[in-house]
Amino acid sequence: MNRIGILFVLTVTMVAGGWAQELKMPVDLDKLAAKASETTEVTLNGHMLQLAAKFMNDEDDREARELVKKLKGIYVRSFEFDGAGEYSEADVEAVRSQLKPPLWEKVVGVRSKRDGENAEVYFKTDNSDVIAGLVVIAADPKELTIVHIDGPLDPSDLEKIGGDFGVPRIEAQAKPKPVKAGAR
Amino acid sequence: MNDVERQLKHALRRCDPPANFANRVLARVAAENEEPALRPGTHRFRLSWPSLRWAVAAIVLLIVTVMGYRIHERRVEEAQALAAKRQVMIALRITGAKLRIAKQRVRAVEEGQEKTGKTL
Repeated sequence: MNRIGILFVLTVTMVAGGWAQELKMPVDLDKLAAKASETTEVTLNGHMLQLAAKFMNDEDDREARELVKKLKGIYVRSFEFDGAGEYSEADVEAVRSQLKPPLWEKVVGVRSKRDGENAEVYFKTDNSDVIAGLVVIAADPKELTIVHIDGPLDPSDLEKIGGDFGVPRIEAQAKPKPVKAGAR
Repeated sequence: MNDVERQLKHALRRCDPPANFANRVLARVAAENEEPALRPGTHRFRLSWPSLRWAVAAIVLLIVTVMGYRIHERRVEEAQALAAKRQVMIALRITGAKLRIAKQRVRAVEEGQEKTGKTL
């Protein structure tokens, strides 16, 4: 294969990736948008985040700006359906299967058999103490949300976002052991 | 009148200029005032008023075009940035909401485990 061919393949691979290098958006997941009654799709790479940070000049945006400046990417796919069963476990598994140790650590995994509501939180770990990325998978019968934040996050960042980001300070600092639970 | 006076009178006697003298003088003056000839292959640019106006107009047009493009580029960048900012806020809101749900579920599980422990 000549140089142009190699370059073409590399370009297509990079563009088709969609998500950051390590976490790829399954094609089937994007197909869910056709079935969903409401879809939220956010794809922001490092360049777009830096651009957004430039315009976060309000005092209210200060904390978000400081966080966003550090990040390499934010990717969200959220689908709301009118009825249950519009997405399959395979759709979720296509993402989940990429979140394996040692790179990814599952810090929260709650599954409710009774109402079918699941929540999983993964931290990307590296050699340092800083969390290098975050993935949240939240699923219930009529809704599926996958969030991937790529970039360094410290516990205070997790607290700041949205006033209370949601991950408790102690748990985040201590990198808590996975919590797996059955029905509530 | 002595000899010296005669010689002087002869030297200063009135005489008419040669024919076409005036024309030759004027031609010589004109020739001296002429600009030096250009070397072969060189051209002289004469900046007349009309060409100066066109040059100024072209420069002004260029400046306006460049500034217009810059302003347009800036506006596009601002629009992209504002759209990106909105997306960031949506993403962070969704992330926060989902993390809160996860946290609530973990708490509910922990509370359930505590209750079970107390019962036992």
